[in-house]
Amino acid sequence: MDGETDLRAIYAASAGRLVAVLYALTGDFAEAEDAVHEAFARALSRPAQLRKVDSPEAWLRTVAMNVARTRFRRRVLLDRILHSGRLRRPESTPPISPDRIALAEAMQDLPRPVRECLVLHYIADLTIADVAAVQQCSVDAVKSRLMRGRRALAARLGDKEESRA
Amino acid sequence: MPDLDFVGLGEETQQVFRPRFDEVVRRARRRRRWLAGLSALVVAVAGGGVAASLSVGTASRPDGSYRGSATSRVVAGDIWHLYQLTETCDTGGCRFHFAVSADRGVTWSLRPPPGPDTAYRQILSATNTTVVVAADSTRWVTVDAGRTWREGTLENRTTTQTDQFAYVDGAQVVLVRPGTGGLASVAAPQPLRQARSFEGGGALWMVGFARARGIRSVDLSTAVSGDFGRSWEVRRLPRDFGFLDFSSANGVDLYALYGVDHAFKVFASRNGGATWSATASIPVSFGGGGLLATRSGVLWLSTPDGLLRSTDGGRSFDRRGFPDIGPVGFDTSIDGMYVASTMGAYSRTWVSEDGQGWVETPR
Repeated sequence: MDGETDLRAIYAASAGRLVAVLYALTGDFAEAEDAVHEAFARALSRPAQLRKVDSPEAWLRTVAMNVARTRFRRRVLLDRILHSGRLRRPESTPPISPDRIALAEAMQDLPRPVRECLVLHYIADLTIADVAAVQQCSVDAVKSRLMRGRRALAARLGDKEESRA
Repeated sequence: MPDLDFVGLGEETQQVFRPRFDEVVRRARRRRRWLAGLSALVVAVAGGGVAASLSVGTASRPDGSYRGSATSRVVAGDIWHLYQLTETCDTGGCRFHFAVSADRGVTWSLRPPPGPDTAYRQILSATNTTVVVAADSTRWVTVDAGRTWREGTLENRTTTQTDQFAYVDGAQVVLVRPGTGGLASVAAPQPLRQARSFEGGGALWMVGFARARGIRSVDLSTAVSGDFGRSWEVRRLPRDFGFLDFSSANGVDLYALYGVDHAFKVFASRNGGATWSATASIPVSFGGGGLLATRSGVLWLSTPDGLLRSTDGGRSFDRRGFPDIGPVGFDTSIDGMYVASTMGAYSRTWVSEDGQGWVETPR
């Protein structure tokens, strides 16, 4: 097995899950795919890095999240420099049901640590202890963020439902 | 209290994700070249020399069969015309193309696609040289195989048997008239939510949800119209969760494909969707899939592990004649030619006149 064959197998097994995580984090399906492909490309161009880690998927998730975070910061900075407010790219949505899209959109209004917490626990399927390790905070802080996040989302989506009715 | 269905969000997003490992390979190659160029620059500067050239890679020179990296499956307009969205990249960046073949995939012409450069595009329908493409939320129409494009606007007219399915847009089902490119909305109200159109043996076929329960859509169903959209007949599919694809060659024998728990489950109906029965369950790797029912009776199943064939109405599948080619997308032209294609930098295309044997087009 060579590096590309190994990575191809990892891609087949985990790329979809990583895209789902990144979509929930960014609210932008194209951006999510892009960040995940970038993470895999970095792994393929430097295969030694991936061989050192215990969990390739966790490493790829971290790289993809960092890619998305860096791009978001650059966009915000450029937007601020040009004072235009027009640099926000049109967000792409996947062909999934509207209530899922509404949930992903509502998550974008949450503070980033809270959003990451929800995504890592509920979509990436990490345990609370693992989320605490990733976020470098206590287990109690993770529980509190999960509760705050769920409450905020429930309020936001509840408002939307009421206004639709 | 709304339902915070994180699991559903994750699963649905995974299901619509189309794996493109060739994109990873392409990016890695560019990244290596960039790093090599950077190293050369550092060496040149450190040695007091002049970096004469930082050219890192050259654009491939298109010949008759070259069409770049495929970003969509091949769509068949008729037995001769094939269409595909592609991109070519070099050190100056990437350019998008509307690739057209008028000789069944032997040679291709690259034409500018409609809409802004950054648009997300999708080929919605193709009939002969009339093609409808979505670029973000705008629909574009060409009647001369992509030489010229115009923005699609709905005409106020009655749909007839000349019209072909163009797209479903929320509550509207839109047909296109081949030759003129005129779009028109069908008369009967759209019976399904979040519907998609499918090949179904001549009539207009859609799959979507029949009703809403709270903020959820439920009762996944087919809707078929044999009178150009003046009326619809709605029938339930066997289940809601995990739906991947639907296909029928004659409107009576229907097949539905579901992906559940690392297995593809095939359901068949022999009475136009009145009743369904599970016919096969095939363990597969994670990924998308597709079905193609052909008039010869052969049912083709695309899986992440390759193309499978059934000659007994979906009860059993074999891998005969096809090596591990990954998932393929299917299309059927208005005059009955079948196309199977893969996406990405090393995309491949096969055509079949009878649905039994496939001929690969030049790569």
